[in-house]
Amino acid sequence: MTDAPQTPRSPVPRYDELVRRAQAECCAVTDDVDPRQLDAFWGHVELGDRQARRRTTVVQWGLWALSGIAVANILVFPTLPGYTCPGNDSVDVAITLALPLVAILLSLLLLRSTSAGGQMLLRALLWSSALLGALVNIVEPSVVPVTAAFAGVVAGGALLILRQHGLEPERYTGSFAPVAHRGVLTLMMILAVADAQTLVSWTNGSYWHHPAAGICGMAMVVGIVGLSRLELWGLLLSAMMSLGVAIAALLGWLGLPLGVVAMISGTAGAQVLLAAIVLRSVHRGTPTELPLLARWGSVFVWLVIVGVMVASVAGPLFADAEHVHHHYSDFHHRH
Amino acid sequence: MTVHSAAVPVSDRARTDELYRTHRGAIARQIRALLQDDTAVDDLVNETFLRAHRSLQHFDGRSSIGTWLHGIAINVTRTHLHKRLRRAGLDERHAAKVTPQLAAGPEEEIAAELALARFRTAVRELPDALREAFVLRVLEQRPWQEVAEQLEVAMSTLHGRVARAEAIVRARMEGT
Repeated sequence: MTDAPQTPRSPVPRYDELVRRAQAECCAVTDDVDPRQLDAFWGHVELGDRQARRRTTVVQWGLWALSGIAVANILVFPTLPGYTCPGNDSVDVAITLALPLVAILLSLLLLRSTSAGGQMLLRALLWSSALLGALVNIVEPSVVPVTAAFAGVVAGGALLILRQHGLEPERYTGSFAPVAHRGVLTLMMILAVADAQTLVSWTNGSYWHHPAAGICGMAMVVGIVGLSRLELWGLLLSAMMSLGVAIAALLGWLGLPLGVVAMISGTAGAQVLLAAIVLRSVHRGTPTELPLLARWGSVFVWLVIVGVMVASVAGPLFADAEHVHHHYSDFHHRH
Repeated sequence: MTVHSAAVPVSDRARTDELYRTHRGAIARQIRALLQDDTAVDDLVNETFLRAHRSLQHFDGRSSIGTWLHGIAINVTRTHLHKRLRRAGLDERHAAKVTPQLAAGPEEEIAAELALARFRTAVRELPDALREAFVLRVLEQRPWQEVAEQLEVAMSTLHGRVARAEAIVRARMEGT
Protein backbone atom coordinates (compact mmCIF):
# COMPACT_ATOMS: atom_id res chain seq x y z
CA MET A 1 0.00 0.00 0.00
CA THR A 2 1.39 3.37 -0.95
CA ASP A 3 0.79 6.59 0.92
CA ALA A 4 -1.35 9.16 -0.89
CA PRO A 5 0.75 12.16 -1.92
CA GLN A 6 0.28 14.97 0.52
CA THR A 7 -0.87 18.30 -0.94
CA PRO A 8 1.17 21.14 0.50
CA ARG A 9 -0.90 23.75 2.31
CA SER A 10 -1.63 26.61 -0.13
CA PRO A 11 -0.40 30.01 1.04
CA VAL A 12 -3.23 31.65 -0.97
CA PRO A 13 -6.18 32.59 1.24
CA ARG A 14 -9.58 31.10 0.43
CA TYR A 15 -12.55 33.14 -0.81
CA ASP A 16 -14.15 33.38 2.64
CA GLU A 17 -10.92 34.63 4.16
CA LEU A 18 -10.62 37.29 1.44
CA VAL A 19 -14.18 38.44 2.07
CA ARG A 20 -13.38 38.75 5.80
CA ARG A 21 -10.29 40.83 5.03
CA ALA A 22 -12.21 43.09 2.65
CA GLN A 23 -14.94 43.53 5.32
CA ALA A 24 -12.28 44.49 7.88
CA GLU A 25 -10.83 47.08 5.47
CA CYS A 26 -14.26 48.65 4.99
CA CYS A 27 -14.79 48.88 8.74
CA ALA A 28 -11.45 50.66 9.19
CA VAL A 29 -13.10 53.96 8.18
CA THR A 30 -14.34 55.56 11.40
CA ASP A 31 -17.40 57.72 12.08
CA ASP A 32 -15.30 60.57 13.48
CA VAL A 33 -15.49 63.82 11.52
CA ASP A 34 -12.50 66.12 11.55
CA PRO A 35 -13.53 69.83 11.37
CA ARG A 36 -11.03 70.19 8.53
CA GLN A 37 -13.02 67.63 6.55
CA LEU A 38 -16.13 69.73 7.00
CA ASP A 39 -14.24 72.85 5.87
CA ALA A 40 -12.93 70.96 2.85
CA PHE A 41 -16.50 69.96 2.03
CA TRP A 42 -17.77 73.54 2.14
CA GLY A 43 -14.81 74.55 -0.03
CA HIS A 44 -15.98 71.89 -2.48
CA VAL A 45 -19.51 73.36 -2.37
CA GLU A 46 -18.13 76.85 -3.00
CA LEU A 47 -16.12 75.62 -5.99
CA GLY A 48 -19.11 73.70 -7.37
CA ASP A 49 -21.36 76.76 -7.04
CA ARG A 50 -18.81 78.93 -8.83
CA GLN A 51 -18.52 76.45 -11.70
CA ALA A 52 -22.31 76.15 -11.94
CA ARG A 53 -22.70 79.95 -12.06
CA ARG A 54 -20.05 80.23 -14.78
CA ARG A 55 -21.69 77.45 -16.81
CA THR A 56 -25.15 79.04 -16.53
CA THR A 57 -23.84 82.49 -17.46
CA VAL A 58 -22.10 81.23 -20.60
CA VAL A 59 -25.21 79.35 -21.76
CA GLN A 60 -27.41 82.31 -20.90
CA TRP A 61 -25.35 84.72 -23.02
CA GLY A 62 -25.32 82.25 -25.90
CA LEU A 63 -29.10 81.91 -25.82
CA TRP A 64 -29.61 85.68 -25.58
CA ALA A 65 -27.34 86.12 -28.60
CA LEU A 66 -29.29 83.45 -30.50
CA SER A 67 -32.64 85.05 -29.73
CA GLY A 68 -31.20 88.43 -30.79
CA ILE A 69 -30.13 86.96 -34.11
CA ALA A 70 -33.55 85.34 -34.60
CA VAL A 71 -35.31 88.66 -33.91
CA ALA A 72 -32.90 90.46 -36.25
CA ASN A 73 -33.61 87.80 -38.87
CA ILE A 74 -37.33 88.51 -38.58
CA LEU A 75 -36.99 92.30 -38.63
CA VAL A 76 -34.22 92.81 -41.18
CA PHE A 77 -34.37 89.52 -43.04
CA PRO A 78 -33.22 90.66 -46.53
CA THR A 79 -30.09 92.37 -45.24
CA LEU A 80 -28.64 89.35 -43.44
CA PRO A 81 -25.73 87.60 -45.17
CA GLY A 82 -26.63 84.38 -46.94
CA TYR A 83 -29.93 85.70 -48.23
CA THR A 84 -30.48 84.14 -51.67
CA CYS A 85 -34.23 84.10 -52.20
CA PRO A 86 -35.65 87.27 -53.72
CA GLY A 87 -39.14 85.73 -53.79
CA ASN A 88 -39.23 85.40 -50.06
CA ASP A 89 -41.05 87.73 -47.69
CA SER A 90 -40.48 88.43 -44.02
CA VAL A 91 -43.92 87.26 -42.82
CA ASP A 92 -43.10 83.60 -43.51
CA VAL A 93 -39.78 83.94 -41.75
CA ALA A 94 -41.45 85.51 -38.75
CA ILE A 95 -43.86 82.59 -38.45
CA THR A 96 -41.16 80.03 -39.17
CA LEU A 97 -38.96 81.47 -36.46
CA ALA A 98 -41.72 82.23 -33.95
CA LEU A 99 -41.78 78.87 -32.19
CA PRO A 100 -37.99 78.34 -32.20
CA LEU A 101 -37.73 81.82 -30.67
CA VAL A 102 -40.30 80.91 -28.01
CA ALA A 103 -38.32 77.70 -27.39
CA ILE A 104 -35.11 79.69 -26.88
CA LEU A 105 -36.79 82.15 -24.51
CA LEU A 106 -38.36 79.27 -22.60
CA SER A 107 -34.90 77.66 -22.37
CA LEU A 108 -33.62 80.85 -20.74
CA LEU A 109 -36.37 80.58 -18.12
CA LEU A 110 -35.72 76.89 -17.49
CA LEU A 111 -31.97 77.32 -17.15
CA ARG A 112 -32.29 77.91 -13.41
CA SER A 113 -34.97 75.30 -12.80
CA THR A 114 -34.07 72.95 -9.95
CA SER A 115 -36.51 70.18 -10.89
CA ALA A 116 -35.49 67.29 -13.11
CA GLY A 117 -38.65 67.74 -15.21
CA GLY A 118 -37.73 71.37 -15.93
CA GLN A 119 -34.17 70.42 -16.80
CA MET A 120 -35.37 67.60 -19.07
CA LEU A 121 -37.64 70.05 -20.87
CA LEU A 122 -34.67 72.42 -21.22
CA ARG A 123 -32.63 69.62 -22.82
CA ALA A 124 -35.56 68.79 -25.14
CA LEU A 125 -35.85 72.44 -26.22
CA LEU A 126 -32.10 72.70 -26.83
CA TRP A 127 -32.00 69.39 -28.72
CA SER A 128 -34.93 70.33 -30.94
CA SER A 129 -33.45 73.79 -31.63
CA ALA A 130 -30.10 72.27 -32.58
CA LEU A 131 -31.70 69.54 -34.72
CA LEU A 132 -34.03 72.02 -36.39
CA GLY A 133 -31.06 74.30 -37.15
CA ALA A 134 -29.16 71.41 -38.74
CA LEU A 135 -32.23 70.10 -40.60
CA VAL A 136 -33.15 73.52 -42.02
CA ASN A 137 -29.61 74.15 -43.20
CA ILE A 138 -29.33 70.72 -44.80
CA VAL A 139 -32.77 70.62 -46.47
CA GLU A 140 -33.31 74.30 -47.25
CA PRO A 141 -30.08 76.19 -46.61
CA SER A 142 -31.35 79.42 -48.13
CA VAL A 143 -34.27 80.07 -45.75
CA VAL A 144 -32.60 81.30 -42.58
CA PRO A 145 -28.96 80.14 -42.90
CA VAL A 146 -27.42 82.41 -40.28
CA THR A 147 -30.06 81.85 -37.62
CA ALA A 148 -30.18 78.10 -38.30
CA ALA A 149 -26.38 77.82 -38.07
CA PHE A 150 -26.35 79.79 -34.82
CA ALA A 151 -29.22 77.66 -33.47
CA GLY A 152 -27.23 74.50 -34.17
CA VAL A 153 -24.02 75.84 -32.67
CA VAL A 154 -25.48 77.65 -29.64
CA ALA A 155 -28.03 74.99 -28.66
CA GLY A 156 -25.52 72.19 -29.30
CA GLY A 157 -22.85 74.08 -27.36
CA ALA A 158 -25.28 74.61 -24.48
CA LEU A 159 -25.97 70.87 -24.38
CA LEU A 160 -22.24 70.15 -24.26
CA ILE A 161 -21.67 72.71 -21.50
CA LEU A 162 -24.66 71.65 -19.38
CA ARG A 163 -24.02 67.91 -19.75
CA GLN A 164 -25.93 66.16 -16.93
CA HIS A 165 -25.90 69.11 -14.52
CA GLY A 166 -29.30 69.51 -12.91
CA LEU A 167 -30.28 66.00 -14.01
CA GLU A 168 -28.72 64.13 -11.11
CA PRO A 169 -30.82 61.05 -10.20
CA GLU A 170 -31.73 62.39 -6.74
CA ARG A 171 -33.59 65.33 -8.32
CA TYR A 172 -36.17 63.10 -9.95
CA THR A 173 -39.44 62.98 -8.11
CA GLY A 174 -42.51 61.29 -9.50
CA SER A 175 -44.95 58.51 -8.93
CA PHE A 176 -43.32 55.95 -11.25
CA ALA A 177 -39.57 56.28 -10.44
CA PRO A 178 -38.88 58.38 -13.57
CA VAL A 179 -35.14 58.24 -12.90
CA ALA A 180 -35.15 54.64 -14.10
CA HIS A 181 -36.54 55.76 -17.46
CA ARG A 182 -34.91 59.16 -17.85
CA GLY A 183 -33.22 58.42 -21.17
CA VAL A 184 -36.45 57.31 -22.84
CA LEU A 185 -38.45 60.14 -21.26
CA THR A 186 -35.94 62.73 -22.51
CA LEU A 187 -36.08 61.19 -25.99
CA MET A 188 -39.91 61.39 -25.91
CA MET A 189 -39.72 65.04 -24.92
CA ILE A 190 -37.21 65.85 -27.68
CA LEU A 191 -39.43 64.19 -30.29
CA ALA A 192 -42.53 66.00 -29.01
CA VAL A 193 -40.87 69.44 -29.07
CA ALA A 194 -39.31 68.77 -32.49
CA ASP A 195 -42.71 67.65 -33.84
CA ALA A 196 -44.39 70.79 -32.53
CA GLN A 197 -41.68 72.97 -34.09
CA THR A 198 -41.89 71.12 -37.42
CA LEU A 199 -45.67 71.41 -37.46
CA VAL A 200 -45.61 75.17 -36.91
CA SER A 201 -42.78 75.70 -39.39
CA TRP A 202 -44.37 73.67 -42.18
CA THR A 203 -47.90 74.97 -41.84
CA ASN A 204 -46.45 78.51 -41.76
CA GLY A 205 -49.07 79.42 -39.19
CA SER A 206 -51.95 79.10 -41.68
CA TYR A 207 -54.22 77.48 -39.12
CA TRP A 208 -57.30 79.07 -40.64
CA HIS A 209 -56.73 76.71 -43.60
CA HIS A 210 -55.79 73.73 -41.43
CA PRO A 211 -57.43 74.07 -38.01
CA ALA A 212 -56.47 70.48 -37.22
CA ALA A 213 -52.79 71.52 -37.32
CA GLY A 214 -53.45 74.19 -34.71
CA ILE A 215 -55.35 71.73 -32.51
CA CYS A 216 -52.53 69.20 -32.89
CA GLY A 217 -49.97 71.87 -32.00
CA MET A 218 -51.92 72.68 -28.82
CA ALA A 219 -52.28 68.97 -28.04
CA MET A 220 -48.51 68.54 -28.38
CA VAL A 221 -47.86 71.43 -26.00
CA VAL A 222 -50.29 69.90 -23.45
CA GLY A 223 -48.53 66.54 -23.85
CA ILE A 224 -45.09 68.13 -23.38
CA VAL A 225 -46.22 69.95 -20.22
CA GLY A 226 -47.74 66.70 -18.90
CA LEU A 227 -44.55 64.79 -19.61
CA SER A 228 -42.38 67.39 -17.90
CA ARG A 229 -44.40 66.86 -14.67
CA LEU A 230 -42.84 63.37 -14.52
CA GLU A 231 -46.11 61.84 -13.37
CA LEU A 232 -47.80 58.80 -14.85
CA TRP A 233 -50.81 60.83 -16.02
CA GLY A 234 -48.42 63.12 -17.93
CA LEU A 235 -46.83 60.14 -19.66
CA LEU A 236 -50.24 58.74 -20.64
CA LEU A 237 -51.47 62.15 -21.77
CA SER A 238 -48.38 62.67 -23.91
CA ALA A 239 -48.79 59.22 -25.51
CA MET A 240 -52.46 59.90 -26.27
CA MET A 241 -51.67 63.29 -27.80
CA SER A 242 -48.94 61.73 -29.96
CA LEU A 243 -51.33 59.03 -31.11
CA GLY A 244 -53.86 61.72 -32.06
CA VAL A 245 -51.25 63.67 -34.02
CA ALA A 246 -50.09 60.53 -35.85
CA ILE A 247 -53.69 59.68 -36.85
CA ALA A 248 -54.44 63.28 -37.92
CA ALA A 249 -51.26 63.38 -40.01
CA LEU A 250 -51.99 60.05 -41.69
CA LEU A 251 -55.60 61.04 -42.49
CA GLY A 252 -54.32 64.19 -44.20
CA TRP A 253 -56.05 66.58 -41.79
CA LEU A 254 -52.90 68.62 -41.26
CA GLY A 255 -52.46 69.63 -44.92
CA LEU A 256 -48.79 68.71 -44.92
CA PRO A 257 -46.63 67.38 -47.77
CA LEU A 258 -46.23 63.60 -47.84
CA GLY A 259 -42.62 63.67 -46.61
CA VAL A 260 -43.54 65.75 -43.56
CA VAL A 261 -46.58 63.56 -42.88
CA ALA A 262 -44.29 60.52 -42.88
CA MET A 263 -41.85 62.27 -40.54
CA ILE A 264 -44.43 63.57 -38.06
CA SER A 265 -46.48 60.39 -37.96
CA GLY A 266 -43.24 58.40 -37.63
CA THR A 267 -41.95 60.40 -34.67
CA ALA A 268 -45.42 60.54 -33.07
CA GLY A 269 -45.66 56.77 -33.47
CA ALA A 270 -42.19 56.44 -31.93
CA GLN A 271 -43.39 58.42 -28.90
CA VAL A 272 -46.34 56.08 -28.45
CA LEU A 273 -43.97 53.12 -28.69
CA LEU A 274 -41.55 54.68 -26.17
CA ALA A 275 -44.44 55.40 -23.79
CA ALA A 276 -45.53 51.76 -24.10
CA ILE A 277 -41.96 50.61 -23.30
CA VAL A 278 -41.86 52.83 -20.20
CA LEU A 279 -45.30 51.66 -19.04
CA ARG A 280 -44.27 48.02 -19.47
CA SER A 281 -41.08 48.64 -17.49
CA VAL A 282 -43.02 50.48 -14.77
CA HIS A 283 -45.41 47.53 -14.54
CA ARG A 284 -42.49 45.09 -14.26
CA GLY A 285 -40.52 47.32 -11.92
CA THR A 286 -37.42 47.29 -14.15
CA PRO A 287 -35.46 50.23 -15.61
CA THR A 288 -35.51 50.97 -19.33
CA GLU A 289 -31.85 52.03 -19.45
CA LEU A 290 -29.54 49.89 -21.54
CA PRO A 291 -26.34 48.83 -19.73
CA LEU A 292 -24.25 49.75 -22.79
CA LEU A 293 -25.70 53.27 -22.85
CA ALA A 294 -25.08 53.66 -19.13
CA ARG A 295 -21.34 53.36 -19.76
CA TRP A 296 -20.92 54.75 -23.28
CA GLY A 297 -24.09 56.82 -23.66
CA SER A 298 -22.42 60.13 -22.84
CA VAL A 299 -19.68 59.57 -25.45
CA PHE A 300 -22.29 58.67 -28.08
CA VAL A 301 -24.43 61.71 -27.22
CA TRP A 302 -21.35 63.96 -27.34
CA LEU A 303 -20.54 62.72 -30.86
CA VAL A 304 -24.13 63.26 -32.06
CA ILE A 305 -24.19 66.83 -30.70
CA VAL A 306 -20.90 67.68 -32.39
CA GLY A 307 -22.26 66.15 -35.62
CA VAL A 308 -25.40 68.30 -35.41
CA MET A 309 -23.33 71.44 -34.80
CA VAL A 310 -21.10 70.70 -37.78
CA ALA A 311 -24.09 69.91 -40.01
CA SER A 312 -25.84 73.17 -39.11
CA VAL A 313 -22.77 75.18 -40.13
CA ALA A 314 -21.72 73.05 -43.10
CA GLY A 315 -25.20 72.89 -44.70
CA PRO A 316 -25.16 76.36 -46.30
CA LEU A 317 -21.45 76.11 -47.12
CA PHE A 318 -21.95 73.05 -49.31
CA ALA A 319 -25.36 73.96 -50.69
CA ASP A 320 -25.84 74.35 -54.44
CA ALA A 321 -27.12 77.95 -54.55
CA GLU A 322 -28.94 77.55 -57.88
CA HIS A 323 -30.72 74.38 -56.79
CA VAL A 324 -31.63 75.90 -53.47
CA HIS A 325 -33.09 78.95 -55.15
CA HIS A 326 -35.36 76.88 -57.41
CA HIS A 327 -36.36 74.59 -54.58
CA TYR A 328 -37.40 77.48 -52.41
CA SER A 329 -39.25 79.23 -55.25
CA ASP A 330 -41.22 76.00 -55.83
CA PHE A 331 -42.02 75.83 -52.16
CA HIS A 332 -43.40 79.36 -52.26
CA HIS A 333 -45.34 78.73 -55.43
CA ARG A 334 -47.09 75.76 -53.76
CA HIS A 335 -48.08 77.89 -50.78
CA MET B 1 -10.75 78.42 8.87
CA THR B 2 -14.39 77.99 7.99
CA VAL B 3 -15.48 78.48 4.41
CA HIS B 4 -18.78 80.33 4.02
CA SER B 5 -20.81 79.96 0.86
CA ALA B 6 -22.79 83.14 0.29
CA ALA B 7 -25.48 81.30 -1.69
CA VAL B 8 -26.29 78.87 1.15
CA PRO B 9 -28.98 79.90 3.64
CA VAL B 10 -28.01 79.32 7.27
CA SER B 11 -30.76 76.73 7.88
CA ASP B 12 -29.69 74.63 4.85
CA ARG B 13 -26.10 74.90 5.93
CA ALA B 14 -26.88 73.74 9.45
CA ARG B 15 -28.91 70.81 8.12
CA THR B 16 -26.14 69.78 5.73
CA ASP B 17 -23.56 70.11 8.54
CA GLU B 18 -25.68 67.79 10.66
CA LEU B 19 -26.06 65.29 7.81
CA TYR B 20 -22.33 65.37 7.17
CA ARG B 21 -21.44 64.76 10.81
CA THR B 22 -23.97 61.95 11.20
CA HIS B 23 -23.51 60.04 7.95
CA ARG B 24 -19.99 60.76 6.70
CA GLY B 25 -18.45 57.62 8.16
CA ALA B 26 -21.06 55.26 6.73
CA ILE B 27 -20.95 56.94 3.32
CA ALA B 28 -17.14 56.81 3.23
CA ARG B 29 -17.21 53.09 4.13
CA GLN B 30 -19.67 52.36 1.37
CA ILE B 31 -17.70 54.31 -1.24
CA ARG B 32 -14.48 52.66 -0.09
CA ALA B 33 -16.08 49.24 -0.47
CA LEU B 34 -17.50 50.04 -3.92
CA LEU B 35 -14.21 51.45 -5.19
CA GLN B 36 -12.06 48.80 -3.50
CA ASP B 37 -9.35 51.40 -2.98
CA ASP B 38 -8.78 54.66 -1.09
CA THR B 39 -7.77 56.91 -3.99
CA ALA B 40 -10.90 59.00 -4.46
CA VAL B 41 -12.93 58.31 -1.32
CA ASP B 42 -12.74 61.84 0.15
CA ASP B 43 -13.61 63.50 -3.18
CA LEU B 44 -16.57 61.22 -3.74
CA VAL B 45 -17.81 61.69 -0.17
CA ASN B 46 -17.73 65.47 -0.72
CA GLU B 47 -19.47 65.09 -4.08
CA THR B 48 -22.17 62.95 -2.44
CA PHE B 49 -22.89 65.55 0.22
CA LEU B 50 -22.70 68.38 -2.33
CA ARG B 51 -25.40 66.72 -4.42
CA ALA B 52 -27.44 65.97 -1.34
CA HIS B 53 -27.10 69.60 -0.23
CA ARG B 54 -28.34 70.84 -3.61
CA SER B 55 -31.23 68.39 -3.73
CA LEU B 56 -32.45 68.53 -0.13
CA GLN B 57 -35.63 70.25 -1.32
CA HIS B 58 -36.39 67.25 -3.54
CA PHE B 59 -36.07 64.71 -0.71
CA ASP B 60 -39.64 63.42 -0.42
CA GLY B 61 -39.26 61.41 2.79
CA ARG B 62 -40.36 58.13 1.20
CA SER B 63 -37.19 56.51 2.55
CA SER B 64 -34.94 57.48 5.44
CA ILE B 65 -32.46 60.27 4.80
CA GLY B 66 -29.65 57.75 5.31
CA THR B 67 -31.00 55.49 2.57
CA TRP B 68 -31.33 58.52 0.30
CA LEU B 69 -27.73 59.55 0.97
CA HIS B 70 -26.45 56.03 0.36
CA GLY B 71 -28.35 56.04 -2.95
CA ILE B 72 -26.60 59.25 -4.00
CA ALA B 73 -23.26 57.75 -2.98
CA ILE B 74 -23.92 54.69 -5.16
CA ASN B 75 -24.71 56.92 -8.16
CA VAL B 76 -21.67 59.13 -7.57
CA THR B 77 -19.38 56.11 -7.29
CA ARG B 78 -20.89 54.43 -10.34
CA THR B 79 -20.31 57.55 -12.45
CA HIS B 80 -16.74 57.79 -11.14
CA LEU B 81 -16.02 54.15 -11.98
CA HIS B 82 -17.47 54.54 -15.49
CA LYS B 83 -15.34 57.62 -16.12
CA ARG B 84 -12.25 55.90 -14.77
CA LEU B 85 -12.87 52.83 -16.86
CA ARG B 86 -13.47 54.88 -20.00
CA ARG B 87 -10.41 57.05 -19.40
CA ALA B 88 -8.02 54.27 -18.74
CA GLY B 89 -9.65 51.55 -20.85
CA LEU B 90 -8.20 48.13 -20.63
CA ASP B 91 -4.80 49.44 -19.51
CA GLU B 92 -6.13 50.16 -16.05
CA ARG B 93 -7.67 46.73 -15.71
CA HIS B 94 -4.36 45.27 -16.73
CA ALA B 95 -2.44 47.52 -14.35
CA ALA B 96 -4.77 46.71 -11.48
CA LYS B 97 -4.15 43.05 -12.06
CA VAL B 98 -0.39 43.14 -12.16
CA THR B 99 0.69 45.96 -9.88
CA PRO B 100 -0.60 45.36 -6.37
CA GLN B 101 1.39 47.03 -3.61
CA LEU B 102 3.46 44.20 -2.24
CA ALA B 103 4.94 44.22 1.23
CA ALA B 104 8.29 42.61 1.73
CA GLY B 105 7.75 39.50 3.81
CA PRO B 106 7.32 35.80 3.83
CA GLU B 107 5.84 33.95 0.91
CA GLU B 108 2.41 33.58 2.57
CA GLU B 109 2.12 37.30 3.11
CA ILE B 110 2.96 38.14 -0.51
CA ALA B 111 0.59 35.46 -1.80
CA ALA B 112 -2.17 36.80 0.46
CA GLU B 113 -1.66 40.35 -0.78
CA LEU B 114 -1.70 39.22 -4.39
CA ALA B 115 -4.91 37.29 -3.76
CA LEU B 116 -6.51 40.31 -2.09
CA ALA B 117 -5.50 42.52 -5.03
CA ARG B 118 -7.10 40.03 -7.41
CA PHE B 119 -10.19 39.94 -5.22
CA ARG B 120 -10.46 43.76 -5.35
CA THR B 121 -10.08 43.73 -9.14
CA ALA B 122 -12.72 41.02 -9.43
CA VAL B 123 -15.16 43.11 -7.36
CA ARG B 124 -14.37 46.29 -9.32
CA GLU B 125 -14.96 44.52 -12.63
CA LEU B 126 -18.38 43.19 -11.72
CA PRO B 127 -21.26 44.78 -13.66
CA ASP B 128 -22.72 47.76 -11.74
CA ALA B 129 -25.84 45.99 -10.47
CA LEU B 130 -23.93 42.94 -9.25
CA ARG B 131 -21.10 44.98 -7.69
CA GLU B 132 -23.50 47.16 -5.74
CA ALA B 133 -25.49 44.17 -4.46
CA PHE B 134 -22.29 42.29 -3.52
CA VAL B 135 -20.69 45.23 -1.73
CA LEU B 136 -23.77 46.29 0.24
CA ARG B 137 -24.81 42.79 1.25
CA VAL B 138 -21.59 40.76 1.46
CA LEU B 139 -18.89 43.29 2.33
CA GLU B 140 -20.94 45.80 4.31
CA GLN B 141 -23.26 43.08 5.65
CA ARG B 142 -26.29 45.31 5.60
CA PRO B 143 -29.73 43.70 6.07
CA TRP B 144 -31.34 42.22 2.96
CA GLN B 145 -34.41 44.43 3.29
CA GLU B 146 -32.33 47.60 3.54
CA VAL B 147 -30.22 46.69 0.51
CA ALA B 148 -33.30 45.82 -1.56
CA GLU B 149 -34.81 49.18 -0.66
CA GLN B 150 -31.54 50.94 -1.40
CA LEU B 151 -31.17 49.41 -4.84
CA GLU B 152 -34.92 49.58 -5.55
CA VAL B 153 -35.17 45.91 -6.49
CA ALA B 154 -37.34 43.01 -5.34
CA MET B 155 -35.88 40.71 -2.69
CA SER B 156 -35.72 37.80 -5.15
CA THR B 157 -33.81 39.97 -7.63
CA LEU B 158 -31.36 40.97 -4.91
CA HIS B 159 -30.79 37.33 -3.88
CA GLY B 160 -30.11 36.46 -7.51
CA ARG B 161 -27.67 39.34 -7.96
CA VAL B 162 -25.72 38.53 -4.81
CA ALA B 163 -25.51 34.85 -5.74
CA ARG B 164 -24.31 35.67 -9.27
CA ALA B 165 -21.77 38.18 -7.99
CA GLU B 166 -20.40 35.70 -5.47
CA ALA B 167 -20.16 33.03 -8.15
CA ILE B 168 -18.28 35.36 -10.49
CA VAL B 169 -15.82 36.57 -7.81
CA ARG B 170 -15.28 33.02 -6.55
CA ALA B 171 -14.66 31.77 -10.10
CA ARG B 172 -12.21 34.61 -10.73
CA MET B 173 -10.32 33.77 -7.54
CA GLU B 174 -10.20 30.06 -8.25
CA GLY B 175 -9.41 30.51 -11.91
CA THR B 176 -6.20 32.47 -11.25
